[in-house]
Amino acid sequence: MLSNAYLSTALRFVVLAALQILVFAHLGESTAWGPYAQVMLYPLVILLLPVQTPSFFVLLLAFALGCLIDFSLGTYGLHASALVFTAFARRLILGVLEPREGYGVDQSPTRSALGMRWFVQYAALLMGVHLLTFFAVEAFTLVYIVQILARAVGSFCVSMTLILLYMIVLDPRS
Amino acid sequence: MQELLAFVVRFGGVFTFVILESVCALLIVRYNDAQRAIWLHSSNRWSGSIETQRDQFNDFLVLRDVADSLAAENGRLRLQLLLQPNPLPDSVQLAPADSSYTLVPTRVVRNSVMRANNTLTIDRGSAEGILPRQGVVSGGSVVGVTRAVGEHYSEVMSLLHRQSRISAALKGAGYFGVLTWRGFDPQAVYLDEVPRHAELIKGDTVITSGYSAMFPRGITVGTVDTFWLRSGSDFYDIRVHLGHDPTKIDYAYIVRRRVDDERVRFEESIEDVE
Repeated sequence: MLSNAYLSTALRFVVLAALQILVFAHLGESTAWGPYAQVMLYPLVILLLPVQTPSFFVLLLAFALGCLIDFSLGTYGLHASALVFTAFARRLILGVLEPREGYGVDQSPTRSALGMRWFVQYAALLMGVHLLTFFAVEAFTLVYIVQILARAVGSFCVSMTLILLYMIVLDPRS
Repeated sequence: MQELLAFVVRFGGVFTFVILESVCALLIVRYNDAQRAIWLHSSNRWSGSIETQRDQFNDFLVLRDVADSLAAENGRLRLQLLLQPNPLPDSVQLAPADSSYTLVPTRVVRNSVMRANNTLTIDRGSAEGILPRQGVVSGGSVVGVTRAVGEHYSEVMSLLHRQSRISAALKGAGYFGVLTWRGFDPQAVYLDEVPRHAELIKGDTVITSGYSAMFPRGITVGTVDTFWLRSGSDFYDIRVHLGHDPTKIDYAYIVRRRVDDERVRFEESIEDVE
């Protein structure tokens, strides 16, 4: 089961990073709505890690994935800092959303394991954290708080839609 | 050891998080132009304000030194001013009028106006070529005459002295008389011995006559305040308002005549005969 999780994580890492770098980053590139509807699917790599994964490893993986995207897109540190922050928040949110009977051994926070309702909450919280952090760091100042919020909300809608679609279509177990 | 391990397990995630975010922040600021500009602007403003505060604090700490050095410089400048031949503009016209006189600047170190016979002490004496019976002026008007001369200090018989008798004249008209003081009012001296046929107007200027070697002709004494004729007298009583305020004399000049002046020797020899 555990090796299964490693394998699927590695696969997601490669595929979602490639998708982000080659496709999502260039959606609506020269349009007015582009900045307000940025698709980010790669946080799923962190979201779907097994619940018991040591936070040290979660953080390092987030940093590695973020850096890979950043160095490919020339946004050095932007995605990495947001994703590391999301990885840090993941443990807290897992604690908040912990079911009464606790998480199972080697359980992954997936729709099939914990239910659609639970997963939507979980993913929404973490994607909110991720997108807000990302756009705040991108602006690097809170002077443009309205734009930051607008971009986060817009991007949250499209990204969440795609994430839920991904979960429904592929329905990963680990 | 176990506690340390527990500590690392408990807080390792936090440390990792902080370190990784620091690396990210470094990358962001180092390699992204927009964020670097914001960072530099903010950090410059921050460090600038820190620097300003530090500067102000340091300035405050050295205020005392600054005040001391300013006081010292002030002293040097005042000394220079004192040593200059003509710091007071209204005494400039004195020297060129008669080249047999020079002005020696001096400080008035003691002054009195309230006694019946008033004197001043100045800090110039025989070492600076001062002799008895030399005129003293301040602010371009007559103060008195040197009487006793020490090596570095001299006593000046003020105009406000019962024995002071300085020859003075009415400017323009040319009638001359003697300046005397009748006591009490430090602003008023009297010009005696002006004959009753003289034509007087209030406000006429009274100047030194030049009839003694102590003062060259033309140094201001004051202006005619009031004048009257006592019945049966052939001479006016003329009250003169002094051109300077005798109660406020800080600096003065000694009118020094040439030592080998024949006129001086002649007048002194006559006085000896008398």
